[in-house]
Amino acid sequence: MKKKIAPIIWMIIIATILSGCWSRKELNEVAIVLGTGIDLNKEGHIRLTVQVAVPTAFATGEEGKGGQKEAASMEVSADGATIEEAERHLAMKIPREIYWGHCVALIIGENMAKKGVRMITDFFERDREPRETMWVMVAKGTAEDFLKTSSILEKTSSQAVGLLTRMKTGYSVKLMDFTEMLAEDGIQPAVTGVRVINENHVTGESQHSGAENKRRVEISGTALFREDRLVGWLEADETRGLLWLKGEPVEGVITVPTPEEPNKMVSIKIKRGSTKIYAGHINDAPYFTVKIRVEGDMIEQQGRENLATPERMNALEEKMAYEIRKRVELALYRARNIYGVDVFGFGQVYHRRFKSEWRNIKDSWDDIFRQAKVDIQVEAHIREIGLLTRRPGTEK
Amino acid sequence: MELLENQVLKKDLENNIKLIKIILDKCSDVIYREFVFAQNEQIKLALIYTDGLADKGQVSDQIMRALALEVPMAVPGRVITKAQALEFIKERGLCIHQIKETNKVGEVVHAILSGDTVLLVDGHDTAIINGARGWESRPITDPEAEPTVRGPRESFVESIRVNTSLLRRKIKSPKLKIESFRIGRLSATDVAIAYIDGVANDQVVKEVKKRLERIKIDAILETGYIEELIEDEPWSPFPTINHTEKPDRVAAMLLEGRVAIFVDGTPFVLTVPSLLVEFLHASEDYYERFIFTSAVRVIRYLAAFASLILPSLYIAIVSYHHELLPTALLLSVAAQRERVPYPAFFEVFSMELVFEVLREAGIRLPRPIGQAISIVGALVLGDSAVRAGFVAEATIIVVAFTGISSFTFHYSASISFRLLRFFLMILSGTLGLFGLTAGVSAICIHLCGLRSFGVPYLSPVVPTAYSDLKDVVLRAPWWAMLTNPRSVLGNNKKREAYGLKPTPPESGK
Repeated sequence: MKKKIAPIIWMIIIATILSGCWSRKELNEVAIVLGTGIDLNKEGHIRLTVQVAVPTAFATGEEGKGGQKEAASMEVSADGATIEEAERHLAMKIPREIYWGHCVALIIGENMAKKGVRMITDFFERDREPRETMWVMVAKGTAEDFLKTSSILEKTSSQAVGLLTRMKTGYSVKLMDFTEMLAEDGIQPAVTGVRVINENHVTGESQHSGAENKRRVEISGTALFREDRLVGWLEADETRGLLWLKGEPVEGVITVPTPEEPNKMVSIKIKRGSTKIYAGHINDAPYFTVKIRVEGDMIEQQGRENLATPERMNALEEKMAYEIRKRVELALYRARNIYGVDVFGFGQVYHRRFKSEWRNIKDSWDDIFRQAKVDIQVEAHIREIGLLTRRPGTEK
Repeated sequence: MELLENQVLKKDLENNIKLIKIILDKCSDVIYREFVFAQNEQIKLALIYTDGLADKGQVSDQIMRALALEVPMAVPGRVITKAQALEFIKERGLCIHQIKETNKVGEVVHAILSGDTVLLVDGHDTAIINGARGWESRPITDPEAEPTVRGPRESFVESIRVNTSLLRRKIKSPKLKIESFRIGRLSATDVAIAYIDGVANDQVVKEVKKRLERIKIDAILETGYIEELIEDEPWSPFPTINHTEKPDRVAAMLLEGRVAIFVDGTPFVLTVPSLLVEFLHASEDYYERFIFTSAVRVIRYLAAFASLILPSLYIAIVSYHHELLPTALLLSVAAQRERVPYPAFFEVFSMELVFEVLREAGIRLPRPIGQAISIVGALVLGDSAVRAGFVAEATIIVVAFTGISSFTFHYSASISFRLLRFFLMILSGTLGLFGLTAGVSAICIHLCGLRSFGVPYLSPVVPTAYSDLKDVVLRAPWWAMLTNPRSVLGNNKKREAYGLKPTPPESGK
């Protein structure tokens, strides 16, 4: 027994002592990166900006309250030929070890995105610290500028934009989804766009003096890529169409005019929806049928008519379907006919259905897709209109 | 001396008294009282007993008064010869419930020192041992170490007779066997094992006896002596023998087929075989309703787990695996740790040591100042340490919660959990979660190999006895506890009738 135990004890002692707390990083020795921005500088090099949390600003209790409000984050930039090189240069400016594990957002500047993002995403996939679940987005303007914008509600712009993305109002893409879209045939990447807006015209904010406080971050459209280069943008409305086509869980509201009073509107909150794309052939040319099914509840009515009749319900549902189809077609038109990119993944659908044909056409897919016929069918249902079927003043 | 004790009594009273006096030389608490028999003044008698151990009232009233005065009243005029004396005294002279005869000097001496009163009769080589013990003893009080809200409030005391009587009052069956031993060359401590014939596993009973008979020691002062001398794995940090001071708990253990070991002079009783899960159960679990009990047990198991690994988990996460915390929590912890000059490992380790010092002080302190010290310890030390920036608030929370968690289950198991906690802290402080996992695995492997009197320590979980899982984390209601635990007995034994689940009476009748 003794002979058996002795080597085990030695092993434990040696393992614990010789390793000497290898890779131990105390929390007060690391700089927690919350957001990363990547821009192209004038010399054509990578400009890496990191938003680093200032922990003391996050303290609660006595030390958090008194005195001057501390900045919750600091933004530091450095240039380099690669991300890693830029990070080395950053290390000269930040006295702590840079820790990527909690980076929420990877923000790519517009110029960088136009030049190609494959060269920069590699670091974030390969290194073991950054998470593949970080949100990828393209900033209109520079990422550095975006990161330096403070948020009122959240402590840092990264957290603000991370939470905004999580609301899924835009086309939110995680790093792992982005790389998947980059790697696969038959789909082109698209990510959410963000920008800084000036709200100087907003009044009654005198307590937050200074121009800095009037700047906000917001989700703005969708960036479309061909391969790894930014080619164009979808606007907010068109982004909704993109989301419908992608079958992303859409949480949102559709507003349509009431059947009898066209100047009064009805808002329908979408409860659930599904999108199915079927590929086929017409005269040897690819042909797609998109079937979208939506269910929603009416949550607001401006007019006074009684909607609880089958005719009016049908009319309303038809209007709803029309509205959705319009957006989908708009998104499809912009992406396909103006920028010529298949960000929707029609190619993947086709690939799954026609394996051998795909092999022949995959290199010229974008051109073929441009000519392909896409039939969009929307089936909309309104499930509940609430208990106020007869509002005060509603027609009898 | 040994030689003297091995001798037998002679017919000559003077000689016998001299012999005993030689053996009990310089024992000032032994009292010799010589007097004559009332019926026949030729017959000399001697009483020998230990002052303080014998019930003086009984000795003077029931023995001396009877023999020296009252015998003639019972049988007036009868003449008793020397040869008849012993028989006559035994039959008519003594008003004592329990008497025993012996002719061995050693036995006489032991009886005197145990509190019995020895009567020597001139002309006979036989001594009468009168069971008239009576000494000062502590009254039966509330259990100090195992308080309960619901359930019996009595606890064992230091006298083995009182203790076995408490048990007998719970189980009034001839099947409850109480076998006595005497262990200890000098202390000659009474030790008794109790078990229920037909329920307990014979093999275990035999094994307990075998291990007890093995013991050759000068004295046994507490059950702890025996525990260490008979346990299966002396090097293990885990206790493989349970102890309790509650008669109801002992009774419950016996009914499940365990064997209890009583030791004179201590209110604690050992029960074997013991399983790990026992230490996480309280006697109250069986008295409260099963739904509540099951919920409480889940909490207790979680607390036990927390008391083992929480500080090490905290160290590992804070110093190695920051990605395991949500961003907001990480930032908040980071903000607290910002002012702390020491690594997390050192911080937690020292705070745990401080907690252990406080705990130890809480036990050793004289009662009246205990309150004051706990306030100083808990509030002043903890709060000031945070204010001064020596430790982070999160650390205090972790240490305090761990400390409290470790008191939710049996004290002797919590000691081993506490020791292992330090071992795990060192591992996770040097190797991170990897070390913690390795440490926990090592503990699991060790536990799997442990046995208590032939029963695997982790049973009924490992090896799994499905019918016993009714009483591990969740407790089945009493009407569903159909059998005794298989893991303790080796086989299932029916404990109640089927179909005891109560139902409301049918309506309308």
